[in-house]
Amino acid sequence: MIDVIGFLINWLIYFAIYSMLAITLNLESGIGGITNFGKVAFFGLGAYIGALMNTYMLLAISGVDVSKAPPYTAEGVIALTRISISNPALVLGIFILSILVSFTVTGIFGYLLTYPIIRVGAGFVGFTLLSIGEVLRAIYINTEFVGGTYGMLGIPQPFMWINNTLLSNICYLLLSISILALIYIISHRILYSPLGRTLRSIRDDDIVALCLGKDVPKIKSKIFFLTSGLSGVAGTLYASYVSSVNPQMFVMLVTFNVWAMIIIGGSESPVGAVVGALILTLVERLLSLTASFYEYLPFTSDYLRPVIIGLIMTIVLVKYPRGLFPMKPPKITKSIVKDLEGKIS
Amino acid sequence: MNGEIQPILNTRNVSKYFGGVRALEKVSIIIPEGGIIGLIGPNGSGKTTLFNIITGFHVPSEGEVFYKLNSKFIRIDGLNPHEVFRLGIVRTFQIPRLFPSLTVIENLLVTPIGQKGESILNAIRWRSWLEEEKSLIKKALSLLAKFNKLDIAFKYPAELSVADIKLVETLRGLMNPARLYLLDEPLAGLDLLTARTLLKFIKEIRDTYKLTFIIIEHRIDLLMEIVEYVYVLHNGRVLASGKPEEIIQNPDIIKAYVGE
Repeated sequence: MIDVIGFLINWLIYFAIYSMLAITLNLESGIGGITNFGKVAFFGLGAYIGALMNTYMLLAISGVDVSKAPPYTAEGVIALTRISISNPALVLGIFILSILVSFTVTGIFGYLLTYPIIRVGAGFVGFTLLSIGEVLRAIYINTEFVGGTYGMLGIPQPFMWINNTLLSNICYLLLSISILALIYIISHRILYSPLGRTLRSIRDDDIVALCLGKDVPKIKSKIFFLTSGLSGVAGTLYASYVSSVNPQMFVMLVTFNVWAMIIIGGSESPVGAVVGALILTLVERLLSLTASFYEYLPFTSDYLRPVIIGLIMTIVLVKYPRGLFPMKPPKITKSIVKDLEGKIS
Repeated sequence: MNGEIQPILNTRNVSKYFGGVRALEKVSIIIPEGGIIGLIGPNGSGKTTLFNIITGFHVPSEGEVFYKLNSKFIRIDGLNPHEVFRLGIVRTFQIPRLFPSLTVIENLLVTPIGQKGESILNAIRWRSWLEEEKSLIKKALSLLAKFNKLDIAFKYPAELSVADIKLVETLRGLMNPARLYLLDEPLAGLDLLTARTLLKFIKEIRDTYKLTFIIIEHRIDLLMEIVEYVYVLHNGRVLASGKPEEIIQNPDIIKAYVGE
């Protein structure tokens, strides 16, 4: 009755994408001290960049007149489907390019944003970023070539030419998981390096860090460049998987969902971020299954989701106030100290 | 001050007003290179404000601060705190401000500037910073060992006694190879033995590395054991300056401290 394998693959792809967001949010907010309430802005920007490149660029290179068949019309979607099945090399090439472009553009966007946000007080950083997310959404709604309120459709999934939905989704899953693994390693290494230590010191007390010679604004903007860029990559992956983007997908709720993940998992630690994403995406996906029973249920999953997430969060925080997997002090320091034992006089 | 000793830092007519409050008024001090200079005065006399101006936390309302770098004098008032730090001026805080979520050893390791592992690209390749990290840890441990405090290396600041917090705060400043140290009440709360060890250590590293120290301290008896020159601030002005033995006998200073 229910397609178990299909469900698992679908869940794991969502898990991979949301893990990227949770890991990067953990890096910038849990460790770097930038209260990012506008995560969705970077996620959405990455998704729109991916959507634009994977449709307009693909159509233009294949010789379709974009002005007659823009990707938000039926003609455009039909043309895109035809191209993405017949020309795998081009589709994959543009997809990889779109990931790189989205990393760079979103990263630079984040880097530029640090200019205003580092100069307002710590408490206002969150609100500034939150409003940036809403501003971007208003821009999407009012811009015709990104589809306005309807958004863009027919974004090709880069493995669509495999001609077997299951197999192409497995390929996409493997791709997402490998990108997730890369992001995890980067975040883990930064956290346990001298840079991670400096970031944690800045989060604890930025004035003392400043007077210990740390160029606080510069370090923050560097890390924000990285995390914003990586959230953009997650956005591009998301757009190509769900094959459409529209402004309603990038509301504030997405940001707070990611926050809930790192709160449940334990902020500061990348393991915690991944575990939080695993739990909450499972809840989300299971709830979406209820869609087929709407006629028998007195409510929809939209009303049930906040209740369940809130319940999980309360239970976890009562039992584990620092989250399920809080950060442990770096092992490397301990092992070096152990090596030196007895040699210090 | 005699002419043969080269100054490393001097302030010229530095004043600082906070609204109507005159925290400092025309303060001119000269700090000789390689000296241990005491800065004393009753509460509210402007000692910490002077430190804040030297280290870039406040911009002086009037006056200039000069610092000798490569045998040239440069103006450092108005620079950012991290820029001042990079010139080789380190300060500690009167009320200790350790990083609460870092262990003692991590607190010490944060300080050194220009660590290789602080750039994103190097942080990802951990082999690039491992050697440097080892030598820094060695330095931190030997600092702790000097005070018989190796056992607190992996404790968090919240688990420490007041005296240990104070000591770690000072040691954190000493972790970085600087030329001029501004210590704000390093002895407050320390037991006599640790306080003497710290003073002996300061003198020792001064002699070895030719460092300069300015020390704000209320425990004048202990301070006078090591300082070579003392400035006394009172109501934002330099009330007196001189060798410790002259200062102790100066009736004006006794009056400033205990009243008439």
